[in-house]
Amino acid sequence: MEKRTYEAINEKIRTGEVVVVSAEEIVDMVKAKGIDEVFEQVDVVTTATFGPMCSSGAFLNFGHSDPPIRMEKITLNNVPVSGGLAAVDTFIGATEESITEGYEYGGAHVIYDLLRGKEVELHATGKGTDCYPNQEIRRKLRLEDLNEAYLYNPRNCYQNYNAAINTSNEHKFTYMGMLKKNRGNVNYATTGTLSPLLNDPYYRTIGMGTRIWFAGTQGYVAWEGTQFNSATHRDENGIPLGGGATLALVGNLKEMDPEYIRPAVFEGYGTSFSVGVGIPIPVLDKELLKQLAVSNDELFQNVVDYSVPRRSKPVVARVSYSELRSGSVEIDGKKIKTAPTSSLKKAREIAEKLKQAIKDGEFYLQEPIKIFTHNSSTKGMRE
Amino acid sequence: MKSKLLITFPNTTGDKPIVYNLIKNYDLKINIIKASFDFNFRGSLFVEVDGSSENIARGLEYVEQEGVLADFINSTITVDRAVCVECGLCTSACQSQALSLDQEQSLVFQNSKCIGCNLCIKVCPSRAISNGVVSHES
Repeated sequence: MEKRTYEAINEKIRTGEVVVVSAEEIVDMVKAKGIDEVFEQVDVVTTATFGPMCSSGAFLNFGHSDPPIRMEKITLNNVPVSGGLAAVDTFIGATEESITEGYEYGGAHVIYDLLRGKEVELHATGKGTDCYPNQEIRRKLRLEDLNEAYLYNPRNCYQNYNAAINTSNEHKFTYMGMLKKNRGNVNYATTGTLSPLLNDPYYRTIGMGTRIWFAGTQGYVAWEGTQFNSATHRDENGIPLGGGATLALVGNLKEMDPEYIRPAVFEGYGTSFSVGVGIPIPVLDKELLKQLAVSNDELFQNVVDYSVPRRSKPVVARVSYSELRSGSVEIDGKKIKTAPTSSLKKAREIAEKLKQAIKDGEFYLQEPIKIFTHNSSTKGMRE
Repeated sequence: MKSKLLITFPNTTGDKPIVYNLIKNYDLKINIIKASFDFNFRGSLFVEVDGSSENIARGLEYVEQEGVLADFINSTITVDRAVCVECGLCTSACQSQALSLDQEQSLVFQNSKCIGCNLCIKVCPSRAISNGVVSHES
């Protein structure tokens, strides 16, 4: 066999014969048995990630009150949300902060509370129009009271990222956590060999319309993520040296599992949001399998100095993901402690859940309806 | 019994072998978790002390006679397991290795190593860590 098709894989899912392993397991399998033998055996590899990503949020529709209101200024539990859509539509941005509590309670917490079945207080005002005469409303609403509620994350699943260090003589508080002065620690954000886009670095199977496991339900890749940077520099394995591609994701909030959606608060920075994502990769050919078999000691990240307050920050070192996961890295002769911002434990759970859903015939693979562009680069802001 | 003590030395005790005396005269097993001193011999020791409660009490009496302060550190932090996502970011703040990720990437908290600095509380993005009841008594 030289190639495997989506149709053949989905037929095997239907008959229960499909063979699925995680992106961690495939590394050891290929090491033990080689590409040719494993290609014959494995149909699908599951990838996963669970880490904070600020570019997240949810669209909601509240339903109309009687008399109706055209909501222009809106808060949910004192967190401002968009009044810039139709009368009772809104978008909650995950990083929006509470008027009263600041970043300890943000948009991410509102979405999490709705998902947990809690009542959330809506307060909205409008100027009043002939068609929407009501000028102010206060209601307590639960997720089940809403018409639509879907998560839409404009940017998730960074293909690769930076590890962060601080070479200055004062502590820095960042979205990568607290960075201690004088190279006190290195924080990093990736699940390494489990990470979706590190396993399909040229976007052959992950594209618009790809079906994904999204916080416990089935969602989709909606579009290229923002700051999609496919025309980036790559190493010999095709892995971007820096950020690379990103994904815009969409899924029904009402079907999600609060175990795989969590607000995050970064001291001195703000609110963020961790949403669990699992993406199945069909083993279409041996070329793709080689990418899936890339191990943690072959995946590298730049260690970037976050004490430099500029858009472009200097690279201090380049380290492998296995070094980062070991708990310490050595940079210029100094042993420095490392810590992750993403949960490998949760990511492993997600890879297992997706594997089980495919084996149980509950999750079928969807071929992308449009392949991502390979020549997209991210610009800075025009001066 | 095992206790955790924060022993604070003024700059007048630099010539006295206080820890040696605690070990030799009061039969205490002393495990130094963290030590911090300046060039004037002023500083602190964070130690775990193992011995009979009577010997610990007598040892404390001794250090206080020498003009050294000793505080019991009774309890430290609590990790709310229902809230924690086991990302491991708290380990970046923990100087005493009390918080760590094990082979399975599960978060492990070893109370005996915790020095009660509370840095992890603000670093935890899930806000899963709180300082139980931290009480100091002489």
